[in-house]
Amino acid sequence: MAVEELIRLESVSFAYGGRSPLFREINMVVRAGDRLGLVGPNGSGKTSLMHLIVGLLAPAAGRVRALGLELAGEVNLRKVRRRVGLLFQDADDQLFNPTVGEDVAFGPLNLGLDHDAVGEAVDRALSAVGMAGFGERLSHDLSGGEKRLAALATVLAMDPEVLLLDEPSAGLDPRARRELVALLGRIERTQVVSSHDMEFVRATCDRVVLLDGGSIIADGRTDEVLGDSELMLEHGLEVPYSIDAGVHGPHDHHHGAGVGHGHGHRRGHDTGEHAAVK
Amino acid sequence: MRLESDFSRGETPLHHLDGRARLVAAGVFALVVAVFLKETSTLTAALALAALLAALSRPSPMRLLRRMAAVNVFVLFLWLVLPWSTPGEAVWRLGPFSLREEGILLCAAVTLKCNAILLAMIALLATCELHELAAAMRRLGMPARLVVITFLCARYLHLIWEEGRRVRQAAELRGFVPRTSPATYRTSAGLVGSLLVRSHERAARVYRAMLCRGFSGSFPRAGARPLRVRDVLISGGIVAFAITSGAIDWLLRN
Repeated sequence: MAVEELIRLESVSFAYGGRSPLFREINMVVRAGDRLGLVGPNGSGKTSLMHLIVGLLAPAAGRVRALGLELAGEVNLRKVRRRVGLLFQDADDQLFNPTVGEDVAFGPLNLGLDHDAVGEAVDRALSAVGMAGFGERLSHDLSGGEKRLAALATVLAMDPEVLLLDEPSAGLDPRARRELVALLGRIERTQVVSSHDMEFVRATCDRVVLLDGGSIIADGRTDEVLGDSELMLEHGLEVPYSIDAGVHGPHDHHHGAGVGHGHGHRRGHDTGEHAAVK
Repeated sequence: MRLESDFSRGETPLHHLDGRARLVAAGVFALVVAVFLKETSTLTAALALAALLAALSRPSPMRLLRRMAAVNVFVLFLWLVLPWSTPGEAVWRLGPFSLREEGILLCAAVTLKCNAILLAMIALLATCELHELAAAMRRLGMPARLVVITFLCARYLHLIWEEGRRVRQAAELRGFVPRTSPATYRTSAGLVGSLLVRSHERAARVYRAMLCRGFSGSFPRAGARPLRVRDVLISGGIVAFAITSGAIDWLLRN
């Protein structure tokens, strides 16, 4: 059965004004149920790719489609942003209301929900991230981990179909990071996670895209990409310790023992197609 | 710096006053006291009302005194200068200097005005959280963009302050000691420039985060509460007092 295609980038090129291109004709597809990790060295464009997907940046060439909509025009942008939630790298950018409850309510209010529905959305989102009862807390008084969860709640309150999570584990202590891994495992939505934390990517994603030098270098199953030491070193990354140590990844059961996928994850020129996992 | 004021937590009737009622009462009171009241008697009455309102809001005495001290330091400097420099009838002489009645009256008026307005603002505005005031401004018909700018300025002042502190600390950790020298001016200009760039970048990121959650130019509010009788009575009472005292002041002067 064909899996629904949620996001498609076709021959997308992008450059920040006056600088060399960040992306050169890249192609990528995200399908329903994907848990996709975006990895790459600093400056490889992980954050920019997410901003392209929600229309905060516009490609210089090529097309970006999300949930069947072309990312052009105010109406389409609003529809896409309603259904594709972006968690920013710095939680302080996302929390701009005085209290956590008001911050979480901001999105649902913009959706035009009535008072009761907004209240329900806030409660549901705060409960989902384990912050029930934090509604009256002042956003700027939260710890780093709490801010990260509150920011995630602001996104979940919009009830998006796709979650784009930009460096979600950055700055978290091991316990908060572990709890975030468990939380993301419980959220049954398509997720795209950008991170330098390879263990975190391995724990949360079943597919990995490696970006570098304006291209998609590899797109394949998590352990196949992250476990390729030559590839990882070549692009300034490291094989996660857990792979070196032979610890089975949480998504190993999806792999079908790697039959038919072997080392076929490297991509000279991306086609936008990959073996759907779900 | 905190987003809510030191006085915003409490359960007095003033803490539950509608935002619109607060803004109207505070605005009219401050305008009348600052512009129209000239007589010591009416100014004293205004100060008495403001002090009564402040007392009703039950602030922490230490916080209130600290806030009043900050304003009255400025007033103190006026007392040191104006009575000696304002033209008028001398009431006491010290060598070549004359203490003049007009200067004393002017200082008294400034002192009464400053303290009356300060106490009224603490009682009426500081007992409210900023987002409630922003919503009230919008409901009173202020342009949405202006309300958003006001709200976000206040929201991010502390972040910019923190950013500035970090930049300064980073410089100090590498041996920077402010002096009166070209090197200090150059470094200070660099620090301010860096702060402006960082603030601008943060503002852009916050705006993007807002766009991602459906922001379309104004803060939506759920369940705007209708004005209650108590709101109208308190606000109306303050406005009536201000107008009446303005009229009495005018009659006393004519």
